[in-house]
Amino acid sequence: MKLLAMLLLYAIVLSADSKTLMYEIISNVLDNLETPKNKIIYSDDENLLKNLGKHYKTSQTCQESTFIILQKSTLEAACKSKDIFVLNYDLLSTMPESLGAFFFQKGRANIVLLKPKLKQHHIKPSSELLPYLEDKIW
Amino acid sequence: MKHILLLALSIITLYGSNLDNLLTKYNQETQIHKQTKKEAAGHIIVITRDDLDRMQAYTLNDVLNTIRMFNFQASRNAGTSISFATAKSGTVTPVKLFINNHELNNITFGNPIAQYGAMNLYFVDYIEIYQAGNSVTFGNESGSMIIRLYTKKPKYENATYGEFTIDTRTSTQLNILDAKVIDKNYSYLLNVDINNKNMKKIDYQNYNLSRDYAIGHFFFQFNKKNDYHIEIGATKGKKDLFASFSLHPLKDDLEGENIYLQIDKKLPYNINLKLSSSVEQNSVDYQDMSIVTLTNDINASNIKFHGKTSSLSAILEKHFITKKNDLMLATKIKYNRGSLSYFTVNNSMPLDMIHGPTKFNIYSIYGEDLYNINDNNLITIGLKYDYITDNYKTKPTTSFIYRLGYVYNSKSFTNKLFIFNRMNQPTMGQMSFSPVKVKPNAELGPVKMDIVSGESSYKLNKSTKVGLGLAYAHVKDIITVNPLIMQFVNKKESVEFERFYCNIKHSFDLYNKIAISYYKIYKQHSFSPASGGIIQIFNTIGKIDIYNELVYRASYTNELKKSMQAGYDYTLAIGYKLSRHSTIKIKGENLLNKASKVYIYDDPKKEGISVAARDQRVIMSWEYEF
Repeated sequence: MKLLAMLLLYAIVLSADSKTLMYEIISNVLDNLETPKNKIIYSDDENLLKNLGKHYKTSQTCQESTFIILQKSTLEAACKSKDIFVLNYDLLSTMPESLGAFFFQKGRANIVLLKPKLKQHHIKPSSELLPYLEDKIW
Repeated sequence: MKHILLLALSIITLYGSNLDNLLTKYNQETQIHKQTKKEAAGHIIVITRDDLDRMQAYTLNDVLNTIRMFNFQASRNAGTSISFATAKSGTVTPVKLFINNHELNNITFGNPIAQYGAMNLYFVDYIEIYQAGNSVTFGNESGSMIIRLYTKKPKYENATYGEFTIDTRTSTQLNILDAKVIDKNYSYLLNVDINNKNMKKIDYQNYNLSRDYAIGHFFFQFNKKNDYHIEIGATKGKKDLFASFSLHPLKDDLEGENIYLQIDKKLPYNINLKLSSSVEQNSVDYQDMSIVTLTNDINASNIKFHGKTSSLSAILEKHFITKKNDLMLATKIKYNRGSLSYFTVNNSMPLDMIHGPTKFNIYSIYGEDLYNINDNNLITIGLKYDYITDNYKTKPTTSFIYRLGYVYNSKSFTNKLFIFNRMNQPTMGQMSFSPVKVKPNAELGPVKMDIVSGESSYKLNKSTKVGLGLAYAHVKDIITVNPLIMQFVNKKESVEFERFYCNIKHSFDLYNKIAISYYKIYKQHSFSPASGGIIQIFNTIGKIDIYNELVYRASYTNELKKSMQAGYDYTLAIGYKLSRHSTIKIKGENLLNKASKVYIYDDPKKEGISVAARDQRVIMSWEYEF
């Protein structure tokens, strides 16, 4: 029975649509970031937050969270010291507090994690994230 | 314990080192071609956005050079053209070219490639090429190949880019693209480009034969999600006429412009409306050192003319979709018009050079049914009836085409079989207006073809796929030139040919892959390369993309019994990402200088002039995202 359930899960992921895959990717990035505090996620993307809620503890406000995922540039000043991951490459520049991004560029999805920011926030990336680490925004 | 091991193994497959896999799958899922590709519509070649970027395909001609079973070659009239392998040089091959849903017309000569091959691809996301078995659902008159260019989707771009290109022949190209989502429902795409291309001049008896051109292109698209789509395209340019009239030009200017408007609207009850309008104008100013003999036997040292063609079409289509069946019914009206404002020789009174129909009204009804027998097996039937009237013939022309198809598709194996007929109508150039050398013939009938084609592809493993295609065709009423009367005629004898192609694709990893393909046409008489192949190698090392391409075309003997050597067109393209916003590129075309050649001037007693479609050149470019 377990085997059947596992195969079913496998099939679901293989046939997943682009939204589901995007949630999987972000979830995977989170899994591979070892943070000093337990992750409590907040996002201004409601669907993403709902989806991540299946695997992580989530919060409806940024103040109660420890890890923030943003698609827009508006964020309360009190939350800007938290771990921030953005869904738009330009936000990496306009929001200097952010430590990484998942974004589209020229029709392709990309992931970038900034090494100095991870160090500053005492976050350890797993070996799987090594190809996505960069020293600066370029 | 077994279950735990299996679970662990599965999790490793799913999540172990799987961010790359997830990203790849995500990129594949979001590629738009997955939504437009029609497996049952023919034998498909998809050139993805990623491939186009790494190939550094600046113009459509860069892609045409790689297509199996077709020869991309120099042409005395247009500079370059594409024709079916084995065909005589200069033969019109009815290739149909679309930008999204708009068919780019070439009403006079029936070959849009001569005109649009130089079009830049900066605004194009990916290309689908349908060979044989072409579905009637595209709504066009039948053609031997359908090329569909799909433009970039604003929601995946959301940026402004610019690219500047310069080559070793001092050609320059500037492209600007802006694509944005305005709010949740509206988006636009704007592209402007200017291309000034210099080609190697042919020095013949101290006369320069030039095929240089300068062309500007504008494209604007505005979309409302799930509602309508408006597109405006315009091109204006100037071109040297190469060897169109003679080999002693003193002045050889062709100026042309065209503009089109396409509106697609989703109506209630799952009905789609597609409206299209286009106007094209060309003027020629030619002066010769000696004389050019026209088809009405007038000797001209100076030729000036201005021609205009226009097209207006409307398509209504409706899908009836059930769990197992997709039935599409459609109707189409298309008006094609052509006119000559003036045609003067030796600066005298205008001549009447139109000898056939110039107004065509085409009324079509067509439909296609796709029936899924089960998850793996699909059958399809397509029917199209055209009723064509013109302003010359008293009786209308009708044509009826059918297509039967079977597609088997499983995880590792795909098999396709199509049986169909095709009727290629003569062009306005062949029927009404052909000023030099070959007389038009208003009584020409369509070329009729019966074709059986099949294709199989098999995934050997996760990273390797092999394919094989076979076809047989019986062709009647081929349009050819009768050398005794120098006029277009329908050939009485029928022609048969078989063709075969095979290919293999292997991905080493996410960024590195190789594709090899080979084809051969079996035909009694062959006047251009009957076989050919291509090797494409895509590599990425860090921030560097490297692309290697070798296009092979076999040796052949032309219609004047002259032997031509095999062609080897080698391209190397290297791109380096300076930053997320900036890339520099360098590309070498025809680097071995051994690409396949054709004679643009041939004489059995003398040495002719043979040229390749692409010059040897190195191109450098810089791309920046603002």
